[in-house]
Amino acid sequence: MERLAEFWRRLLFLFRRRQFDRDLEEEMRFHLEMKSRESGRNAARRQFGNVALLEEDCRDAWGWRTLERILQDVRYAVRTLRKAPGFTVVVILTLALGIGVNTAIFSLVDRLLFRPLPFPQSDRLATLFFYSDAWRLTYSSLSYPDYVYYRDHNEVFSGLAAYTDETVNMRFGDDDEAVPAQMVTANYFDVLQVRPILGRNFRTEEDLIPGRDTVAMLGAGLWKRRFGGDPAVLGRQVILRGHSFTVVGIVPEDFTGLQIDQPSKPELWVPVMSYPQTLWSGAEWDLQNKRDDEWLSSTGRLKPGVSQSHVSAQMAKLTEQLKLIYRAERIDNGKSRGLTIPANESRFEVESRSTVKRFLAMLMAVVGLVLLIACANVASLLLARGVKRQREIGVRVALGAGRGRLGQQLMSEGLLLAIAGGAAGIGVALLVQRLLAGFDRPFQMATLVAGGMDARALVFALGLSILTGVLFGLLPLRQASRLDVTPLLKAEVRAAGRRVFGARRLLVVVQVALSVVLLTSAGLFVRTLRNAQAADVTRDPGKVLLFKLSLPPTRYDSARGEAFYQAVLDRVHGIPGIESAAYVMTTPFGGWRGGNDIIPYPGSEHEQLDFNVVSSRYFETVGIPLMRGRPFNDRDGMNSPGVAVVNEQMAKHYWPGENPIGRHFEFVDRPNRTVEVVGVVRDGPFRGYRDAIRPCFYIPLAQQYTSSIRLEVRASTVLAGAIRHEIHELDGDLLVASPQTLRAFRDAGMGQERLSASLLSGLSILAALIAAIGLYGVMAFTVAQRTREIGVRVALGAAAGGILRGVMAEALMLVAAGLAIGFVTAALVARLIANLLFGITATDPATYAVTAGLLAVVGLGAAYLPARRASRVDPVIALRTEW
Amino acid sequence: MERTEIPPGTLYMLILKSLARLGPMHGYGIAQHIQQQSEDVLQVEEGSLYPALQRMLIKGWVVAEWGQSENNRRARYYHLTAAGRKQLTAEISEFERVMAAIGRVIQPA
Repeated sequence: MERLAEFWRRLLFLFRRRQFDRDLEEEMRFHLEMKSRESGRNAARRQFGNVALLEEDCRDAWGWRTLERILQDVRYAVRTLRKAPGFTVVVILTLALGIGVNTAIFSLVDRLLFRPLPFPQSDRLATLFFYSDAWRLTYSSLSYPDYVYYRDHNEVFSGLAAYTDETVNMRFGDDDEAVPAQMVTANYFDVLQVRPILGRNFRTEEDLIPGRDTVAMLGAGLWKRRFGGDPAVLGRQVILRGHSFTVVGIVPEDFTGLQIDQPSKPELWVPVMSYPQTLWSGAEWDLQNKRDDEWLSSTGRLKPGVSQSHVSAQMAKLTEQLKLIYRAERIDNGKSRGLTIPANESRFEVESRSTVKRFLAMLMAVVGLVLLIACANVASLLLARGVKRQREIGVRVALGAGRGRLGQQLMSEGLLLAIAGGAAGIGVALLVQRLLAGFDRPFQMATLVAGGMDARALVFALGLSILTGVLFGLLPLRQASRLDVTPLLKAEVRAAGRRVFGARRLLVVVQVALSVVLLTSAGLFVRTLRNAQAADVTRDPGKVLLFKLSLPPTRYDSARGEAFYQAVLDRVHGIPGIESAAYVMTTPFGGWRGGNDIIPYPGSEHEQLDFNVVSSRYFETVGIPLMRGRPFNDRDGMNSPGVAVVNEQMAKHYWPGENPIGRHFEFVDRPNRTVEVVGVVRDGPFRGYRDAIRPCFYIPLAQQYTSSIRLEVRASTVLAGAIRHEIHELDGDLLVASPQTLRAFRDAGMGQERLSASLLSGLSILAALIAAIGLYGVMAFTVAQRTREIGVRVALGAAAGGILRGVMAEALMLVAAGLAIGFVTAALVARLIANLLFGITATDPATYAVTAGLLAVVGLGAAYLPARRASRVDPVIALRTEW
Repeated sequence: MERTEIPPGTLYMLILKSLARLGPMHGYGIAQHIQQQSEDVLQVEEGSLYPALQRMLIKGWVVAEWGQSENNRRARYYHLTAAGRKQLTAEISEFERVMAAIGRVIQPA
């Protein structure tokens, strides 16, 4: 109780400090007055001693000494920094850039790799995987009966759920929406421990008999968007793929499922056993019992006390037992081994995890380098400032300031700068995040990563700031602790200046070297991106619009589908301003390839080749050059002879040195048919730019109907609306998403390359600029220090040009040293990124030469102003300059 | 006559006792009072007196109030509180205990 009262009094003091100081001052004045009456003014003063010290002792009694000093230091720091606005702004900006990009990238890496999935105890979740020796692949697909086997025979999971992704058309009045959905076992949300925000989870009996229970849960986002967040939606019917489902629950909005490499988060859930309604022609399948339809993934929650490795071992054992059943049923599903992976680690497709990790590690390293360069610059600036302030510090030491106290004060200044830099850095981070978010599919895959700062990123930024602040604070402290007061007061700063100057030159060399590493890497990635884009053989892909069409089989058989395709083409060609339009089954550069078997020569073995289905004006529309023969035309129909167009590679492979036109091969289908080669087109990679060029052939759409197709139209984007309108005139119910350009489609598959190229270019230019500021600072400083010497030389007859050249040569020396170190480092670093490059070696001489040239120009630019100042030194003034 | 520093640890007691005897006083008055009462043997340095008064304010033994001095000047007067009175009793009995003990040690055998 007493302590509390005491603390309260102390606290009150804190808020009445000004009053306290005034009171104390008056009290002392009164005391002194009384005393001087008694013994005369001077004697009183003498006896009284140091008034300031006495007042300070009184203040200290209240126990706020440390806080007061900190406040005092901060106030002092703010005052001194405001007196040097140029220095302050440059330091804060440099730090803001360094801390900002690091925070942005950290928050990305954190969201992608470090942070656990947002479920209770997500470290207790494990996902089932299989390894196939034949395909050398780790994957998670399993059939429903297999899932039931694992669920019922394991002793390690408290619950094991299965799920798969599916896009389901949902009807709202006249409007259709393709909703990303998940088909899940009834226990899915219980295993993940996710509670619905409204209604209930699925019940076990709702997931027992195929097609019986048509119930659905909606995501909160969809619920708000389509139902205005009305709680009465529970129990209402929604139409999914033409079937009526009852809404039973609403899932929290931030629920994304177990995978983050998806283009969009699921917003609709239905039981696995609703597959007859939910899946396309699902009613014809027996997914409940068929072991070789592997369409599900499975994740379970570990029983208490069971370790992840134990689970993995048990699943491996069960997989072995399952193999016996396969053997009995004569099924070979290619699974060699079963295993589990903690769900937190399998949130990326397992096969791409290492690539993503390596890429993220590279990003972290790059931004780390930028921070290093920024720190080097700030250190250099602080060193220079330290020299300028040595006199001030000397005076304060002479007046009795303790070294510790002085250190504390310099430290506050460093920390203040760093924290201001960190605060500005958060702004930079938000900006960088927005830029990053602009990159579609940055890892050659879509990811569900939201932007925005969170507590973890903020803590990271704060940590970085404090770390840099302490480092910077210590730097001048080291200088100050070496201080010998006497020469300083005698104004002999030059010796100390020279020692510091050596350190600053070193820092500039380091900065240049790090910039070299960044610039060369940026150059390599920019050229990788160029090479990747050059692998695309189409002409002007930015002027081709891509529409995805899927004709529902319930309404379209092949005859009606074909008629529809033709009608759409006719109408689209009728729109003024449209050059040409065509269909293609698989758009190249989308990560996929079509494949089909052929029998190249009568009686020979099947061979699988790349293959695509296109309509008659496809090659013309996208601009793939025809090398020989003719493209498809409108006479290549169902009732005319089968034809094919092949690529150069295929022509060369099967008919070397011969004219392939008029040759035949057998297209393996039900039934097989013989097709005649009528044309040869230019080679191009199929899945993506890194794809090897393989033999490939094209079959006309008129002879090979497919219900899912891309309409490609060479037209300006402003015509997109008109084209959709024409399609909807023909079929108002068909879902037509807004189109992409072919170029955007292609570039989406190069997300990683574009991200590397832009990010590295931006960062390396930044780094070079920071290094230039550093070089400028050093040169300006050296010129200022040598003013007197230069003055003497000018007085003795040195020419201005000679002095200019001398300073420039010195700057170039620093740049050259940095370049040399940088190139060696870059060559070592390049080895690490070699497999991310395309069409260029890691030690590409041109890239290195450009880097060297660029940095030399930047360096000379930075040195020119100080050099010119040196050459204009007026000897009269210089010799008078007092140090 | 030579003046002696106040024995360590007894300053609080002296201040408290002065206030108990004469009622509210300003700092200068307290110093004067101790000096006079000790017949000029004890001299209270300002450098010890005022920090001590601050500590006593924190402890809640005294409170301070501005008032008129005998020569019509504004002066800060310190009042003894109940806690201060209690503290004074405790300090005196402790002091006497220590003095008695010292006396036993140094008295001729």
